[in-house]
Amino acid sequence: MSKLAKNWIRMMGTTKTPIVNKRKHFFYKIGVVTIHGRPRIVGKLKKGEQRVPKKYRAWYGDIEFLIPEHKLDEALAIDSIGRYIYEGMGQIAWKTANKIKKPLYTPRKIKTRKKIPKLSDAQEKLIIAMLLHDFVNTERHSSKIYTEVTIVDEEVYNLVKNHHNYEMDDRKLPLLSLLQYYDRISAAISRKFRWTALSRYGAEETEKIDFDALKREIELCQYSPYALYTFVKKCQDLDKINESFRFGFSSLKNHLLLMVNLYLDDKQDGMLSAISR
Amino acid sequence: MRKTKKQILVRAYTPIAKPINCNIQKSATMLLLGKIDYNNGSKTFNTKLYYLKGLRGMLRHACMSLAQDSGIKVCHTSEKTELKDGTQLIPSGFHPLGECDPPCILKRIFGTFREESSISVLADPIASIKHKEFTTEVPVQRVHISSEHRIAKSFTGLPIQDFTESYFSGYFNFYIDVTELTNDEIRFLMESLLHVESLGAGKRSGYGRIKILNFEFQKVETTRKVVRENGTYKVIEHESITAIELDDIESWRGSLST
Repeated sequence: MSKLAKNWIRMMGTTKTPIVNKRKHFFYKIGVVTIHGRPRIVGKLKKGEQRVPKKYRAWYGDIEFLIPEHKLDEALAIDSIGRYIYEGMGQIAWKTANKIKKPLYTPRKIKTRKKIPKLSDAQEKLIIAMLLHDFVNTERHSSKIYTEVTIVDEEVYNLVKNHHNYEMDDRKLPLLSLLQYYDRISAAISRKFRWTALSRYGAEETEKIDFDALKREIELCQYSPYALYTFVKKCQDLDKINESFRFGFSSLKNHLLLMVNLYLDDKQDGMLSAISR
Repeated sequence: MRKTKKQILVRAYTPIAKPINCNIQKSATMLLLGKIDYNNGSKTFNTKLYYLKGLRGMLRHACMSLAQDSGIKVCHTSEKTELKDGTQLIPSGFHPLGECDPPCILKRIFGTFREESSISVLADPIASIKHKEFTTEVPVQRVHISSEHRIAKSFTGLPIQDFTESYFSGYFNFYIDVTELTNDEIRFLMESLLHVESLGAGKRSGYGRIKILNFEFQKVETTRKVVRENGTYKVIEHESITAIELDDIESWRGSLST
C-alpha cells in the first residue's frame, strides 16, 4: 500500500462465515481490514493424530476495507479473507464502496510546551488539579512523593481528592470527568514495559531525594498554573520517581506534562465538546 | 469486475449428523455464527445461524476409499508413520503425506501441510426455522437443529458420565469450487461422491450417515458493479449459472491410473 495515493475508498460488507485471524485489524494483499464484530472460537481436529483439538480465534460481524482508488477492481474480486479459505471460512458479502479524503490515521505528535498559553479561570483550575493530582492520599494510592501536599483552593482540593472516584455526581464537580479522562489516557500512553517496582525510586537511582523540600516548593507555586508548569518541567527530582509500581520504568514528570499537553492540544483542535459528553 | 468459476453443486440428506466444533467448550456444540431476522408474511422472527463443518474432510475420505478400491497409491492423512511402541499407522495402499514424486492425485487436489489445496468446499449456513415459507437477506438452509442429552452407563447400569451434543437433520446443499482442476480430476471427484459415507462424530453408533441425492456441474459468472444511490455508492452483485456436461465419468482411469 503506497502512502502517495491521494484518493481512497472505504468498502463495507458483512461476513457470511467467521474470518480466522489472530487480530481484528490487519493488512490483506492491497488494503487494511478492520472487523467490527464479536470473537468466535474455531476448533480443528486432525485425523490420524492423537492430540487435543487446536483452537483458532475468529471474528464475525461487519467488515471495513480501506484501499487506494485504482485498486477497486481487485478488491471487488475478493470473495474471502483469512485462514482456511478452502474449508469455507472467511466468506464476505460486499455492500457499499465510498470515496474518502483522509483515510490514513496519522499518529498524534505530542510536543511538550515550554510554557502554557493564557487560559480562563476554570481552565486554570483544571490545570492546577492536573499537575497536583498525584501528590495527595486517595483511596487507591497514597501520595507519590510520600508526603501529602496541603492545597489551599477548595475546588481544586475536591477535584484532586476524588480523581479515582467514578460514582461522583457531575453537577457538583463538572471538571472531574475531564481530569479522569486525561489521567487514564496519559497513563496508557506512557506505560510501556511491565516491571514491578518496590519503591517510588527509579531502577537506576542511588541518591536520596529530599521529599520535604520538594513538597514545600510545590506548595509555594500552587496558586498559578503557569508557575507550577514551569516548575514541574524544570524539576529533576520528579523525573526520577516512578509513576506506577506495576510499570517500573515510568516517570511521574512525563505523566504530568503529557496530561496537560494532551488537554491543550485537544483545546486547539476544538475537540473538548466531544470529549466532555 | 467479472469472474468465472466452475463448481459442483451437491444435494444430500442426513437423518442425524453431529459436525461439532470440537469439544473445546463446555458442551459439544456446532460453530455458532450469529442471529438473523427472517420474515414470514408480515411478522418477523429471529433464529441462530450455524456453520456446516467437516465437509472437506468427508470428501477427502471418500477420495481415499475410491483410490484404494481402484488400486492407486495415494497420500495418507498424516506424515507420521509409527508410534513410540512400534505400531504402524499407515495401512497398505497409502504412503505418508506429501512423499510422492511426481505428485499423486490426492496431493494435487487437497495439498499438504505446506502446499495449498486447489479446491475449496463451501456451504451456506444452516438454521432451524419453524415456518415453511420464509424470506431472508442472505442465503440460509432450513434444517432441524437441536441438542441431545446422553448418559454413558457401565455394564451393571451405573451412570458413569453424562453429556450434551448438538445435531442437525434434513436436506442440505454444498459447493465444490473446481476451477483449478483438469477435466479428469473433476471426473475423479465426481465418482468419489459415490463413496461418501459419514459426516461428523459418532460414526460407530450410527450417527452422521449421509446420502448423496444428486449433483450438478456448473459454470458460474459473477459480476460486481459500484452504483451511485442517494449520495452513497452501493455494490450490486449478479450471478448467472449454466450447466456443463461431462460425459463418460469413468474415463479418468486411463490417464490418472498412476
